[in-house]
Parts: sequence; C-alpha cells; structure tokens
Amino acid sequence: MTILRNLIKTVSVATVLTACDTPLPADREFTVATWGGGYTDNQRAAFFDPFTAASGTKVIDGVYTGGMGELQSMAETGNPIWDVVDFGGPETVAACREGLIEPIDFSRVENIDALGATAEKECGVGFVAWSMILAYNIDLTGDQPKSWKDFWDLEKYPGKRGLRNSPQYALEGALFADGVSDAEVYKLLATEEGVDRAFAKLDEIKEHIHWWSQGAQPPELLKNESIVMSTSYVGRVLAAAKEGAPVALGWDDGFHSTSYWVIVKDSPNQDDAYDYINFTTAPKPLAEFGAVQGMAPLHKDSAALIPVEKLKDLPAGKNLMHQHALSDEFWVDNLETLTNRFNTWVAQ
Amino acid sequence: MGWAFGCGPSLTSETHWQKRSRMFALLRKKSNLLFGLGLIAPCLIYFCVFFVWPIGNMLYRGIDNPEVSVGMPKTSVAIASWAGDELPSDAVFDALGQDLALDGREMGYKRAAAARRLNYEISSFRALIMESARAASKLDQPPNRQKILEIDERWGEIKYWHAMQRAARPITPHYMLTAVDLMENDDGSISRVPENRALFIKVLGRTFWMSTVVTLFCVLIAFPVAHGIAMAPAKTRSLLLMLVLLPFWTSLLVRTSAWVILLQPNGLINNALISIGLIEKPLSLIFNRTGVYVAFIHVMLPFVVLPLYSVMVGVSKDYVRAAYSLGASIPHTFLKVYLPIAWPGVWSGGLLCFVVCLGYYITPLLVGGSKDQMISYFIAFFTNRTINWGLAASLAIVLCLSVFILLAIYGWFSRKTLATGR
Repeated sequence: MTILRNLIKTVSVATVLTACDTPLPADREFTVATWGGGYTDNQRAAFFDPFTAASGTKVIDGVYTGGMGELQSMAETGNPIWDVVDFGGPETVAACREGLIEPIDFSRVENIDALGATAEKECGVGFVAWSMILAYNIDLTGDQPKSWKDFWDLEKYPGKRGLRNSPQYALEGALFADGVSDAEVYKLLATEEGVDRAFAKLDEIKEHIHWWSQGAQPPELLKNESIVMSTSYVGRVLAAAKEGAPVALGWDDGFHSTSYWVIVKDSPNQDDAYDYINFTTAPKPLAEFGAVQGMAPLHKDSAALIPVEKLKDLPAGKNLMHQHALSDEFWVDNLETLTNRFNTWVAQ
Repeated sequence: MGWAFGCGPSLTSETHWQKRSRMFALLRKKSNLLFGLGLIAPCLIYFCVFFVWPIGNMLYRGIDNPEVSVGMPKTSVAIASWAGDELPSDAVFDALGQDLALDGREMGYKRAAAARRLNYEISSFRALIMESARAASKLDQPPNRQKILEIDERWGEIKYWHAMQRAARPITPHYMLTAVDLMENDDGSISRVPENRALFIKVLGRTFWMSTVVTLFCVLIAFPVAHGIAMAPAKTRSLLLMLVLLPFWTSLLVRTSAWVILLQPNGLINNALISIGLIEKPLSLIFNRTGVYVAFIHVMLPFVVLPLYSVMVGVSKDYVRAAYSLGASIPHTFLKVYLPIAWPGVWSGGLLCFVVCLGYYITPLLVGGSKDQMISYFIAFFTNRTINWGLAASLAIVLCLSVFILLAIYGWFSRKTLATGR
C-alpha cells in the first residue's frame, strides 16, 4: 500500500514538476545535480571524473535549474533522486529551514578551516565565490563606466543598458545609484518606502533598459551593439573578450555571492556525499574548476595553483574590495513579493 | 425462465410472474453494465489514478492551508475565536509562547513552513516568527504576553494577528484571491490589491491575447498550405505532408533554439538584411514579442494544418466545379461553397491551437522578454523557485476554468451555427 501511495504521490507531483527526473530505486548511483551545459562539463572535468578515479564511486549528473521545487517534491514523496546539489545562498538558507536538505556535520568536512567563514552554512558547504559585474562595450562607452551612478548617467553614456530580468541586482543597483550606502541597502529594501524609492529610480532609465534572462545574452548584446553596458557574469565576458569582441568589465560596484554543496534530505548516499564534498573542496580540483569557470575557489591554498594572469580575472582579493555582498537572508524573505511587484512594474 | 429464481405459492399469479421477469431483466441489464464496466475498467482506473486523482490533488492545494495549523498548533486553535477588534487575550499569547518554545528538528521544519505561509500574508512575517522562535527558550512558562512583546514589539501590531487568524484556517481563499488580484482585508472584506501589485489579471489577459494572435496567424497561414496539400497529386501530397510532420516530430527545444540563432542581432536574418543594404543596424527580432510570435506560430502550425487538411482532403472537387459551371466567380465559390465545407476544420484546428497556446511555457521563456511571459511562466516560478504551490495551483485553476468557459462558449456557438444551418 505504501508503495502504491508513494507511486501516486510521485506521479501527482511529477505531473506538475515536469522538470523532475524519473524516480530511481533507492540503491541508485551517486547523483550530483548542477547547472547544466558548459558548467556541468567543467565540473565533470574538475570534480566528477577525478573523484571517480580516486574513490571508485561513479557520479551521475542531474540538471538543476534553480529554485527549490524539485527538493520539495523529493521531500514530499520521500524519494530523493539526487544526493548533492550545487545551490545558491538564498536557496541554501530557505531549504535548510524547511528541512529539504540535511544539516552538515562539519566534523566530517575536512577542509572547512581552509575554506573560511562564508563556506560554513548550517546546511551547506561553500566551495566557490562568483560575481555579477558591470560589463561594457569599449568602442561605445569611451570612458569606462565604473559604478551604478554611471549606469544611470544617460548623458555621459547614451544608449541601452542591460539588467537581469529580476528584482535581484536591479533594486540594489537603483538604490546604490541613488546614493544609498552598502550598510543601508537591505534595511531600506525591507521597507515599502525603500522599494518605492528603488522603483522610482528605475523609472528614470526604464526606457533605456534591456532586460536579459540568460547568462549568454549580455556579451552577445554588447558585441552586436544592442546595448552599451550591462550586468553580467564574469566568465561570459572574459570568453567574449578572448574571442576578440570589444568588451571589458569592471569589478567595482558589482555583487558577489557563494555557491554551496548541499546534501538532499534522506539521501541514501550520504557517505559518498561527504567524500565528494571533501574531494571537491581540496585546493587542486577547486583551482581547476575556478580557473575555467571564472569563479574564485574558497580554499586558501587554491590561488597558488592558478596562473597569475588567470587569477586577476577571478572574483577574489582586491577585485572584491568595492563589491557588495548579495544578501541571502533578504532574498529568502522577499524574492516572491518583489518579483511580483517587479513584473507588474515591467509590464506598466 | 422465472423458475430459476425458485418457487412460491403465488407463482402462478400474473403479477408475480411479471415481477420476476422484470427482476431478471434488471439483473441482466446490471450484469451487462458490469461487463461493460469491466471492459473499460483498465482505462477508467488508469484515468482516475494517473489523471483525476493527481491533478485533483494538485488543484486542491489551491485552497488547502495546513502549514500554520501544523507548525503552530496551539496558536491556531486559540486565535480562531478571536474577535479581532483589539489585541488577542492572554490565552492566545500563552499559546503562541508555547508554540514558539516547542523544539526539536522536525518541529523547527514545520514552524519554518508555517513562517513561509505567514510571509504570504505580510512579507516580514517569516523573519518575525524565526527571530521570535530563536528567543523563545524563556517562553515555556505562561504568562507570556509581556515577554513576547519584549522579544519583538511587532507582536503588538494588530495586523500580524489578523494575518495569523486568516492563515490558521484549514481552508483558505488566499491563493484563489491572489490569483485574480484580490485580497482579504483585516475586517474580512475583499478588495482589489493596490495597483503596483496587480499582476495576474494582466498576465491572464496577455496569455489570451497572445494565444489569439498566434491562432489567427496560424489559421491564415495554414489554410492555403492545407489546401495546397489536399489538392496535390497523391505522390506530392505525401511529400508535402512529410514536410509538415517533420518539424512536428522535431524536439520543441531544437526548433525554438533554431529561431534564436536565426533571429538574434547578428543572426542569419539580420546579417542578410544588412548585407543587401536594407537596414543599417540590426533589428531586434528576438527576446521581444516579435520573436515570441514568430517562434510560436512556427511551433503551432502543424496543429492547424493537420485538422484542416483532414477536412479539406474529403471535400469533393465536384462541388467547386459545379459552382463554376453554374457561373459563380472564384471569390464567390470560395466564400459560399468551399469555405463553409472546410469551416469545421478551421474551427477544430483553431481551437486546438488556441488551447495548446494558453498553457505554453518553453517558447516564450526562450525567445521572449519579461513582458512576453504567459501565465504558465508564473505557475512554474511559484512551483519551482519559491515553492508557493498554493498560488501555483490557484493560477492553474484560473487557467483551467477560463479554458472550460471558452469551450462552453464554443460548444454553444457551434450548436447554434449547426441549428441555423450555416
């Protein structure tokens, strides 16, 4: 009966969650869910294959596209089809609160002291830092735009500018452009007046914003001169610049955040999961992955393994000096409300 | 035949005989019914287990409201009878204190789910619950009112208690109301949400509008195509049909991504237009409404061509010839003879296309901008990103209901046209 009930539950959830993979039996192979495409390829080269070679444990990769829907359905059906997931900060906080992921036993995480304080979340082990920066077209801007104030300066930098299709980054950016300090921004955004102020500031350049939704878009749009500057992920801009596109990036006034390994609640392969986390947070695999993906390894000894000319392009050290930390806690509580309001505002 | 049912003293009586025969007929009818049911049973069970039950279960989440009564059990009971004009009694504060002081990992998870639910009512409620629970170790012994107000003064604001009372009911109208841009006020009245939060009616309207445009274009394009295929000689016909079916069988993702490659600013189309000197700067053809329409119409075309073709291929050429021979002009023949016969194909193809469009997700997501997302985008957002399954289910209910209403209108309309003989 329980089997049937579970089956029915699984089907009912899968009806809505078409993104979910087919359920596997409990003694399935160790599965790591991560962001797909080239990102997964880079992790396979730096993490999965070397881990299999060292431990003999095969790694199946699943595709994770953000959010917590899959984990919620796994918890409801009692059928965890993944073991380890590459999670963002806000999701790590939210999923931990509701018991969708396992609390981490840090006595089993070998590298935690070398990974630093940001790596330690109740239910997650941080492994790399990433950054959202301001990229621009060299030919169109002349002088490098360096800040959110420049982003709003339509006289000095005429033309369209790109922002991610989300209240994240856009609202913070608007308040920074309006002169709000780093310490005040999330306090202000937690109030109705602060949100009104951010949208009022966005209204000033609303007609000049090109909203992008996929990470590949900003470098393309910059290259073909649809926009003059844009928020973007680091790796994409560097790749385009390497191919000769007239694009460059500035670190100041960008945002940085951390990616976490989390263990899915009731995963049957938890020993493998800890082995995997220990293996992938060692200096060498982290250095290999970070260098190709444009992300900064959190292990303090990784930097020594990365060539200097690559190191200067990673979100670490002095590159982060004038960056803002994206608040996980704030976005856990407010993503939904603000996304609704954002979509209403965009459509007006 | 009645003997089989046994004998009685009044067997010879006419009425009894009739009664028995009637009973037997009824039994036979019943066994026929059972036999019939047995035949369709696999299908019926499959339908119920894999369709009605799971979808019904999912839609039920649109009104289901278990989080707060599970995560804050004592408060939910205590707040139910609160009159609501001033701060709740000491008993409610004591219950809240006891709920917040409950510890254990599982309880923490349940409380977090309750906090998420309360956050839907007031967007700072989650933080209030989580912070209060952290300071709750001193709350296990009543009286609690003063201690709770000291932990966080927001507990002295009546709006939080109203939200708590609304969210503690076993069934809630909250999600359904939100899905149509309405909200329940503290005094129990229902009003429209403020202008800067009204989203879903607009999105629903956009969904219907975009589906209408796509359907119209599809019918306009598919009509001559289907006609051409139906009129072609048998050999060419199968080749032409193949040309329609091949894209139909190709993965949707592949087709949509192909449009991204074609339509992007430095894609084939823009490059071609620039190289022949028609334009100087690339046109923005993608990540906006134009891109969505182009890709969408391409994806939907087979849904209209195939039903149209199946009707048109059955239309005898004799009707058209007869009309010509009686002196009708080409437009006249088309409007008065051919179109009325092909009309059922237009209707069924158009309707199929329209209904499929309403629920489409992936095409607008890949080639659309933020103003081009239809209602399924938001259903996916609430299902996957924020796990607000109640609102996702409610939006699905609204979409389903509007399709049912549309089908009812269509049914009424087609009966009417049938009755008037058009």
